[in-house]
Amino acid sequence: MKIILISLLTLLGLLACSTPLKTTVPIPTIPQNAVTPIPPKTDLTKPEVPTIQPDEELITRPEVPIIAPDHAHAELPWASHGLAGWYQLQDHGNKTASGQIYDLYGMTAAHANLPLFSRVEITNPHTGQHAIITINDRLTESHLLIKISYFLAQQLGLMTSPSPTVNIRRIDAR
Amino acid sequence: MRLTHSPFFSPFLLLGLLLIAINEATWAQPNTLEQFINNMVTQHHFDPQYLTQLFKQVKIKNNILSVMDRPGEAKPWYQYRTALITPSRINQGLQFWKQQAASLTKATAQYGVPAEIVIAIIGIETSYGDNTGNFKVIESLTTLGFHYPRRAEFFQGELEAFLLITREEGLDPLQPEGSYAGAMGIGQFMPTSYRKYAVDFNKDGKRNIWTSFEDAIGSVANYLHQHGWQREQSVITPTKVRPDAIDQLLSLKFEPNYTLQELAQQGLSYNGNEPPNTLAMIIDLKTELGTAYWVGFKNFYVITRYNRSKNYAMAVYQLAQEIAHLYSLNP
Repeated sequence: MKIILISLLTLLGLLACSTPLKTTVPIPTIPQNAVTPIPPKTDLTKPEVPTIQPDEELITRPEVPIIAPDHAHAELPWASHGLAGWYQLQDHGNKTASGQIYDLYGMTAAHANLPLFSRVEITNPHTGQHAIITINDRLTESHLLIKISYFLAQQLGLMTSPSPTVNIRRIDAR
Repeated sequence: MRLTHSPFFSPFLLLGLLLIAINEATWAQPNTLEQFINNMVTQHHFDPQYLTQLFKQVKIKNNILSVMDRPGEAKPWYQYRTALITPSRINQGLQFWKQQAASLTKATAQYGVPAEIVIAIIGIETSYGDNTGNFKVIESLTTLGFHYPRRAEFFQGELEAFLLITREEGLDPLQPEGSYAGAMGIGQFMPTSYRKYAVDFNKDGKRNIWTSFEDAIGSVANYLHQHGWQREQSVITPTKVRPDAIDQLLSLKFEPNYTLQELAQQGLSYNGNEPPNTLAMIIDLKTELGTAYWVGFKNFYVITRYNRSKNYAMAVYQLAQEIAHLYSLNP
């Protein structure tokens, strides 16, 4: 096992020297009208990801924009193109608008008005790298379409892009 | 419980193994092979001629000793993560979940451990059973037990357990294979762990952790359960730490021995919803951006019982998250 790990590391090292590493997880294409149900809270297979309901504090927080009712986005798909930003290291550990805590390795993003916990497919149009992520925060920066976790920005190859634009497409609704 | 040594060697692993060695070694001083055989005869009633004949067929592996002597180098977390959490390991984890769904569901129901945690451990240990190691276990343990003085007691204890396993399970001692350090099967159990925690999950009368995925899955879940896994509780959550309190918080013991309330008094600014009396510990990891902090709960500590390294436990957790995310998109 150990020897294999060393050779794996060496191999990765060699690869890193010659070609950029694509870390995006290939995700099978999902039909445009597919609605992926979020597993119920009692699903035993995901207990360490507690589903946190927005608490009362959030509802009264002034900086949280009014959440659009679900029926406003009922017609799928919903798609958009624009500038992406990402969270900074000091955001790690902050509470998001959904009540979940921001994790720099999370597959999460902030958006101005998409419902919390809705899922979107985000694509870097320059490279085709894509991922499916969950909206769990509200955007406060008006010049951005979406603000994603640091890890996602890295995974999508946006860090080195002079103008980090993305396509986003909603793929489900709660 | 895989036994590693560099490149991911950690002080926690070393400390843990030393503690195991102190707790579990049967004999205080490293023995010669002759003394070892005598002890197996007097303590476990093995036939001395059988053991003498057996060890005549055991080769000492110098390549194992050269691997052990290579200096260990602790990788920062972000390099460790890149090496272990690869797209192919995530995708194979999803396939493994679908193929072994029945056993995984049964293990979760019986032991409370989520499927993705069991899958991630097996994925990291052996790439889902592909790399279980092809050293003869008896040769690894004899080499390390009698030619690697620094850890002789530990490996003699494992050799003792291995010989007992072969008698209890009716195995030819020359057949079972494992890692260079004697870790066996799909979940890489050391022999002492096998005797305590391996289970016959498919009820065929054998604890076959080498080729039965069902037994391996049950055994990994039971290992975590016996070490105190808490059903449906958090594993690890990001946190903020008051900058002036970092040194103080990191000097605490590497065990979830402190309540969130006590940690908050010492400078933790945690935003989670767990009750203030929840036991936790501070985990610091080196990311590409700099050091980031998490609150590790009992379940995180339980994963470190499989391999005593915070990088290892975090890799298991994050791989599990990635696999679970993919599974939720392709149930």
